[in-house]
Amino acid sequence: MLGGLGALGLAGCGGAVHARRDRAGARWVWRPAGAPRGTVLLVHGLGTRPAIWDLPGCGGLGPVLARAGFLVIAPDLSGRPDPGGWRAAIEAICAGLERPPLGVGLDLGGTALFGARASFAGRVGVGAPLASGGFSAAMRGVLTAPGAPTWRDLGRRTVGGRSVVRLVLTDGLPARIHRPLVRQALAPMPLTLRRAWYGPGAASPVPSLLSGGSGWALPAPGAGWGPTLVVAAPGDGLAPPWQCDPRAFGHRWPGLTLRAPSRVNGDEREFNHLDLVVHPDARRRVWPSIVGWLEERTLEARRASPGAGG
Amino acid sequence: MYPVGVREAGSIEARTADGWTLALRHYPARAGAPRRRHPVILCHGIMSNTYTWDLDDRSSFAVWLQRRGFEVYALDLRGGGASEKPGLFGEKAWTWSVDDYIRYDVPAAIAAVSARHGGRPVHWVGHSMGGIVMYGWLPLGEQGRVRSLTAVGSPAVVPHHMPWLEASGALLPLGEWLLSKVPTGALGPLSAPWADQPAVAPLHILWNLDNLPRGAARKLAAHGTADLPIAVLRQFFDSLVAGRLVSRDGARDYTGAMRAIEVPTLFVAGSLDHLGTPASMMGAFRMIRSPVKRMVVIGRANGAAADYGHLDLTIGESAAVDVFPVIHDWLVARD
Repeated sequence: MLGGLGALGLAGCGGAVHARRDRAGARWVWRPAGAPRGTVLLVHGLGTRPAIWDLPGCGGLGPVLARAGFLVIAPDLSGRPDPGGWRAAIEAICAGLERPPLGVGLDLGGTALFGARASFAGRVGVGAPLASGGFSAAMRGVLTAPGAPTWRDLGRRTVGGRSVVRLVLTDGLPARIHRPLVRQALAPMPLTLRRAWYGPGAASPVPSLLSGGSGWALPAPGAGWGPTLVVAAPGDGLAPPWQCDPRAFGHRWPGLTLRAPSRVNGDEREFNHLDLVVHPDARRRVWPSIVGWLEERTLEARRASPGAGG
Repeated sequence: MYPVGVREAGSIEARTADGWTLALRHYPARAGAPRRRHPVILCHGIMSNTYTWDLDDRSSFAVWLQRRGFEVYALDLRGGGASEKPGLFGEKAWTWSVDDYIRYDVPAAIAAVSARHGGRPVHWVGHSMGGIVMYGWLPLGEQGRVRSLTAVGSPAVVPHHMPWLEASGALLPLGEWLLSKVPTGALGPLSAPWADQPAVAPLHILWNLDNLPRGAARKLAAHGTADLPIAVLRQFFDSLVAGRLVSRDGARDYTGAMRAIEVPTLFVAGSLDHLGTPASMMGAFRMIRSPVKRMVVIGRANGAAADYGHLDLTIGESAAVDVFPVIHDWLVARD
């Protein structure tokens, strides 16, 4: 499935550079050394920026994917205050590509990917909620805070005496990662965007965004979603599996693969939300499964249309 | 080797329609506590017994409720704990299924307890399969005999998130052979010394080890493991594949019938429970018709001391603070 972790630069921070990163307007782009095997759209999540995919001094999933041969595009959607804006930006990028890209989205970035009407060769939702945070007091605290705070601003809000940020994002990041994360990867969270997530849950005891009428415009499961990888960690305080798995809402979803990083599945730790994309353990346990899944989709696409390039 | 202390509870018996004798450990309401109207039946899960509810002085939901004025009865399903087991030469054999729990054990336990309390309906609190059997029984009728249902880590349907679980179904024939030689009740004490080893991934399906009092995992493995016929195990494995629990003869769809449940129901899910996952509990929550229903997820994000796994919902380090009051308050409100 994988060409070896070393070849992907997964061995640790500051591995060998086989990819180049540049900025194209509000986008970050990582280019592979040779001809790309496909394009991956990386969509950050609520209150984060594209830097989440490539933290200074630590790297991230962006360069890893480029080292695996993908052209990687990560738009900055942090200024967009509603799901429609996120969706439109994603669709605009897809419209400019020759072939349907692969999509990888973190939390609301994943939800927006699922709602986008553009074609995708496959989509990955990493802690991407299909439901409101209805059953979580910590998430209620996050989603109903006034104004447009950053995650850092919400650090003083507590549930059970603990910071909601620690509860729903991460409580085990090494300082060398935590510091650049706070300095470069956080963005304000508009209330309108948070309400578009939490709002449907306030009106229903079962807070599904799949039931229609939500701003995320999620299509009926199975109708055009295509192959999908859902990465949802039971230890994720922001978007645990019950919020990310359409089967929890009674929907059948052909083509769905669920990967749940957890000790029960042989991992060494439970992963909180951002741990899935920035924790050192994610390099060994989470990223390879995402890269491998994307590689398989690329091979499938090649088999379906031989001779197609990136 | 793994002391559990002396249990001061008495015991009553219930006779099932198919001739089995069940034991219910009785914890009478403590004098001085506010008197509650309806008795409570606690029902354990698969391959378990009443130690789920009363492991020791520190972890005992039965005693905790008793001290708060409830008449509490902890049920041992057939073949488990103090209930009747098949003998070497008798007519009874290790061949029963979940259907027998639902059709015979549940109504027998309710009838026996209710009869001691003026025919009043009972509160049923089930852990894991102990809630599932009530999901199965309520649609059969006589819902008026149950005042309320509390389902603690009781999944209604898949989904689960462990790819190895279904794959392990291939080992069922081996399990069948093994269970024909060694009863599961004996496997518990044998495996007790390794029950709290974090390196054994499948063990995390049982509990969040970080959330158990020291020694609790070994103690529960040693005392709280009951003998189990392979038919019960096979029925649950089949439900993983089919996405619904059906009777052994295929005639009854227990999961589909849940829509008929009208009893007030509380769903208690552990945020880190890999068996009664919040997702599967939410499936149950969605499915039942009850106008009065509530679901809570016990985890750090809701102010609990820890993220709760399957068995720590009853024996967790802080269950008396994080879980028991939630169930108690529900019972008092429904009483």
